[in-house]
Amino acid sequence: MNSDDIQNIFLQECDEGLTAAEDGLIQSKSGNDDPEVINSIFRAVHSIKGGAGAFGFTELQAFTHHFETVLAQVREGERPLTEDLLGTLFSAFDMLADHVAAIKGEQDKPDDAALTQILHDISESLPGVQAKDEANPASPETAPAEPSAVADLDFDLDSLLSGLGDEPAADDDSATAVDDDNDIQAAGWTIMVKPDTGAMDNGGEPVLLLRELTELGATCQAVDISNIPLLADFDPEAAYLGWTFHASADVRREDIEEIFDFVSDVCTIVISLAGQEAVLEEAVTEMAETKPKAEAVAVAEEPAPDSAPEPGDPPSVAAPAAAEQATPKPAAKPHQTIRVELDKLDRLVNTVGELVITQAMLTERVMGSEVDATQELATLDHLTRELQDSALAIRAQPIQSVFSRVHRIVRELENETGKRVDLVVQGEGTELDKTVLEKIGEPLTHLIRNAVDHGLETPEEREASGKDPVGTLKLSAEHRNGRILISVSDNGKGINRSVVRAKALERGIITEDARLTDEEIDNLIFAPGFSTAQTVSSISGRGVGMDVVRQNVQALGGRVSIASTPGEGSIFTLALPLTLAIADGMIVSVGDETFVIPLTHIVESLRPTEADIKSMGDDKNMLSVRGQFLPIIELAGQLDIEKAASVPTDAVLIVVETETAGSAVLMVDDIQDQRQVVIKSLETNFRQIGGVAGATILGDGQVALIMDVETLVAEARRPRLASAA
Amino acid sequence: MMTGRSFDLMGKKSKPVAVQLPEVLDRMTAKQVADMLIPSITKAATIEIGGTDVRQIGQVGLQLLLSAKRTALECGADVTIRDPSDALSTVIALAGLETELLAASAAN
Repeated sequence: MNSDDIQNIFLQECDEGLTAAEDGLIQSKSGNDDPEVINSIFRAVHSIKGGAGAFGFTELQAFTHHFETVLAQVREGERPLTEDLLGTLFSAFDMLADHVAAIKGEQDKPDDAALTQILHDISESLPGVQAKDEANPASPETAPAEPSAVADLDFDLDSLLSGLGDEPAADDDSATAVDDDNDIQAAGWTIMVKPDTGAMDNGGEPVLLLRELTELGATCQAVDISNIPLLADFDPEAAYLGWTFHASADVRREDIEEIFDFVSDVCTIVISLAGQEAVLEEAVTEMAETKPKAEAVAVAEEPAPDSAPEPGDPPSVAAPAAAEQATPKPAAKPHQTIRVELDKLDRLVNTVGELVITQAMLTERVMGSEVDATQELATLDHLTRELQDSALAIRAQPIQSVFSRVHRIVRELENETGKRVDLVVQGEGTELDKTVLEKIGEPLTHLIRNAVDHGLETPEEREASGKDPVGTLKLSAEHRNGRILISVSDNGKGINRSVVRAKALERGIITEDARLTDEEIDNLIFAPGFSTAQTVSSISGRGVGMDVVRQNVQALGGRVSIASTPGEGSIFTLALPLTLAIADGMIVSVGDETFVIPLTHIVESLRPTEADIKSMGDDKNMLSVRGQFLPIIELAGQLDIEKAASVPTDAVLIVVETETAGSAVLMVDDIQDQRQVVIKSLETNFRQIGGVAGATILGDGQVALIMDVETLVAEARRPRLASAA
Repeated sequence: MMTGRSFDLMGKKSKPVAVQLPEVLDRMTAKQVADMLIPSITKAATIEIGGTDVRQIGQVGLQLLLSAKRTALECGADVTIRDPSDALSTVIALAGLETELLAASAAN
């Protein structure tokens, strides 16, 4: 593993930290005043700061320091978390995310000067803060501003290790402060460090931690060498040593913890008041016996100078608290994860896809022979499905990674539009395929922007219409019928159909005499080039957005639908496939051709009687299904296929439903089978064909096209709309 | 597997055996150094570990030196670290191991 790999891990951990921090901020905004919430935000920011320092990302480190300082004041109860402050913390979070994105090369470095000043002013406005920082030479306040110190932080393990030959920087101020107050020096911190086996994996070097401790002014009190083996039993992979350090009470607990930010899972770290060594040793022993994965657990309260134990205080006074803190929580079974390259997962999924095809071929071959292998084939089918589900589950990720970006988008929209939005998010744990997840961000972002820009009213407008001045934007995700439904709903003014219709007329999308249902008018906003914005803004209204939304969603094999009520709001629903790799389909014949119709569209299939069919002239027929007449689409005619059934009563009719084009009936010659098919991209292997969603390989080796039912039905119904128009 | 307790205490040569530490004493090189030290400690009464070339050393290296010391003690031999480089001395000091690792060499 090289430094790039390690840096990538840091960036991944930054993402995880950002998610945790934003989650905490959102919880705080919703009124959760549990101290653990602000703690979690602090830890996330603090952890990013630590990594930023190690990798030499000075701007990120400097900014996070200011952010962290304000968070620390809130965490310590020194500063109330007001609505204004929360807004500043959200802005700081956004800036932090920008810094991380800049490091990844996703954007330019952000200009954080103004926000840094704001954070600085906030932290300095607390009485005594400046004095506290000045008295604490180990404070990171000065660290980012030291170019020479920062320049040396380029992450290079070799040079770092080589650099161990240098003496730690002298800390004269610290020494003076310590000498001035021998009582505090007598108390201070006891830090026990015991690297575990694995602490030196991936280039880890515990001695670097000791150096950082000495740079804080800590001194080594004892070394545990009792586990050192004889040379014949020496294992270079093992960690045998343990250290006890002492640091003065002037050193902040956070600064000590920061040293161990990235090793908490491979080192046993116990930090507590000096004088409680017996309790700590007991805790360490207990941890070693009970903890499957060592991590920093026992941290006592910070011995602020005014609360530091007096020399004359009996140890027993502080002991219970320390013991309580030092007692490890019952060890939960660790939720272990490993990072796997996506390419490897893709290969696995592809291989499973090939296995599904081979299984179908084998089944076909065996069924055509005299071999009785029904039971074995059933078992193979079961195992293949399990393997397929497992492989796809590995690729599945919670939609939270997409939803989490929405909070920022909404915050920015609030600032840009002056509207007030209460964002409600549900179902963020819903999992879907990573490929789908990666492609859904853009359309979802546009739907959100559209909802705030066009859907929600200004506070004044809302109050005038008797609504809460704060609009609600609800984002939800759920599994339903083998698909993922993502909905974006708002309680705004709803779609103004007269405006939409007028705009569609103006743009030539419909003609003057078009007779459209409410649903059809609503769907006009997805037409290419449609825009109802009074002015073109940076938010939406550029006339391409909703069209792009539909295209992107359809490219994913999904559908988008609208339900809108004037004055009450709108709901946009995206129906997406769980995966783009494998689908259940019905295998049908039309003439000599074989096609696959995705099961998600199919309502029922039937052989009609003459009474079920109503002719509309021009070779158009309708099927009567439970009192409803649905247009019959002859696939043979639609796809120019000869030798196919031309009379509905000689054919099989398949009732399908679509998100945008309504329900219809597909006329095919016969149904061959119903099975899972592996979807092969036509765009990748050939080119895009209208009405065809992809291709698959059947059990007999034949290639079959997978119908794009949405487009087929829309195309077949277009003449009706055009004539109506 | 050979263990420390099976070392033969008899027949040790009185002439010191010198073993030079490599520039980098890490997980990659520690096992090689251990394999060099074991026969030396078994056969010689005095082993001098030269530390002048050491440029990079961490916890593994420290553990190896402590293990050599312990093994020597078990075998009735004496291990001293001679001419430790600045890098080696600093890491030993950081780890609070001057007494364990450098006291004997200071006496030499």
